[in-house]
Amino acid sequence: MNYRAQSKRISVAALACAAALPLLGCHRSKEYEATVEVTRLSAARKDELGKATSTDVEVSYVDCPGTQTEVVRGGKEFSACVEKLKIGDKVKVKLDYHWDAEGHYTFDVLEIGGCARTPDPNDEASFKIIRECSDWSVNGAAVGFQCNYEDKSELTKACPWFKRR
Amino acid sequence: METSDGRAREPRLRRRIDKVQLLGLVVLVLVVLFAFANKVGAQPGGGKGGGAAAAAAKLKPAEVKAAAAKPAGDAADAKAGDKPEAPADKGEAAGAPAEEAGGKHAGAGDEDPVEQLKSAVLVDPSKGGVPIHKEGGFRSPFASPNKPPVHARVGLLLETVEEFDIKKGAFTAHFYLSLTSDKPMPSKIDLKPTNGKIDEKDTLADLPTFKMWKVTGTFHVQPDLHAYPFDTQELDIELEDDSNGQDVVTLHPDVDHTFLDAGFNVPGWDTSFVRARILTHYYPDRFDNDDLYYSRFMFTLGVKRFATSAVFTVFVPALVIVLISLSGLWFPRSELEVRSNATTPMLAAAVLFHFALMQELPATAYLSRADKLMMAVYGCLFLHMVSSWIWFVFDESRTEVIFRWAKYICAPVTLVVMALAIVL
Repeated sequence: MNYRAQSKRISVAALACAAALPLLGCHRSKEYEATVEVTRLSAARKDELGKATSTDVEVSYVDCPGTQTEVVRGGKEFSACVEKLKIGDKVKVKLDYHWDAEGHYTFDVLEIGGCARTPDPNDEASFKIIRECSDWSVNGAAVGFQCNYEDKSELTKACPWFKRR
Repeated sequence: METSDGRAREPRLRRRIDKVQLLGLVVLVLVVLFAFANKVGAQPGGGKGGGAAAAAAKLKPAEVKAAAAKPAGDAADAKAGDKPEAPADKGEAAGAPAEEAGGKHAGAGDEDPVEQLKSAVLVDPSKGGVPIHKEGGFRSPFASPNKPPVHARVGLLLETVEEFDIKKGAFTAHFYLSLTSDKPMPSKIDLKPTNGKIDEKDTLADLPTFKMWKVTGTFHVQPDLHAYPFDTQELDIELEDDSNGQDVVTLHPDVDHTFLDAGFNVPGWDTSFVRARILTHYYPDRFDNDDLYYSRFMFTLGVKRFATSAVFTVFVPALVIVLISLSGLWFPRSELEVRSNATTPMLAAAVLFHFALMQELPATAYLSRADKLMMAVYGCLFLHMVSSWIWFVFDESRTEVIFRWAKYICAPVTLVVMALAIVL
């Protein structure tokens, strides 16, 4: 009787553990806000009237260590909205930090300087150059540089949305 | 092992299991020995210096033949060995060890060496007959004392890396290469690979202060498999202008123009880092007064194997094999066949699994992390098998004690050994 009750308890505990296993793979999304500097604005496509239907906005994350740049492409409404921006403007961006199916965290720009943008999963034109560079020294002399794409400790401390894992 | 205690039931059981286990063990030990002999036998003769470096060196004559009009003998090219890092004086550099000493086609290939050689003078024919330059910082006949030194910045945009074969230590890279300088560069400046060959090269810009090429080439690397399957591989692209010494052109890596292309990735690998550096390269003396330094641009892409994939392809199967074998310890002597069947087939599985792992990798002179894990697996399986055989060594009256102690000893030892193999 006692043995049976104990077995039951163990079975329940084992089942509960098994049910909780998927929680280990749970990855929370988060929204961040950052300040960026607009470094390039150019229309990628225009309609017959010369109005931009898609625009590239290149921004630099000025509050983050190193030179982190991102090119964001948006559609017609986004193009009309970003016309008000000028190169050198420092504006706020809203970022959606989420788990990517590729097995690491990533982020999408949802808004630049008040201009909303819906990330398109088929957009191959937007890209980021996120890296942390430092001198590469041999025998105490700087002979080059190394840019890390993975272990960006200084960068992720200041700007956590750059953390991949 | 053979028993003759006269009991009616036991001898038959003992003989059968004994033979099966012995035969299985002998066969498997032979397979293990064969597998390791295969691994060790395939070592490059010169240890670390052979392999990919030697393969790269072999490529050079063909490359030179294709590029230069001169006979291959004249253009004997070789990769120099360990290079002095911008040494202060020549004497210090000359003492540097070399992986391969040999000729180099500086100025003797498709470039025009006449300009440099014209200004060199033969001072004393009894001292080797090599003309020298009396003025300037270098005596070498390939020095250009009258040309103004130029500092050029090297930028590289890596577009794709494909066909990375870790066993061959080779990969194909597509990249843009740019040279920019504030003063005009020599007209015949050409960066050539020293660890591979160019398959295709298009000149996009050829201006005095700006040169750019689109390059496709095959390059060779020496894989470092110490940490396999958690290894990081360095894919090197080494380029050197062997017709202009450092007295004419000094290269500098350009961090602002060295990038990976948007969406860059190497299938099966995670991009870890990018490194660019300049090696002030000194060749072991190829002739008297061969004192000219050359700037070598070295670009390295660091790629890391996906950890999740490594765990599931190497560690999980090894652990499953050990756990199944471990479960056999809970079968008593009356279930000896079941007990032994939980161990011996696992040894076969372990050997085959290890063999399959080794097939994907080049021969190494050291054990990788996966090899060490498999050593631990073999050790645990051996221990489990011993826990069954030991019954035939001691009297049957000790059956229960052995059964109990086998569990008490083997289970913790297995856990400790496997934990160490995973952590270390």
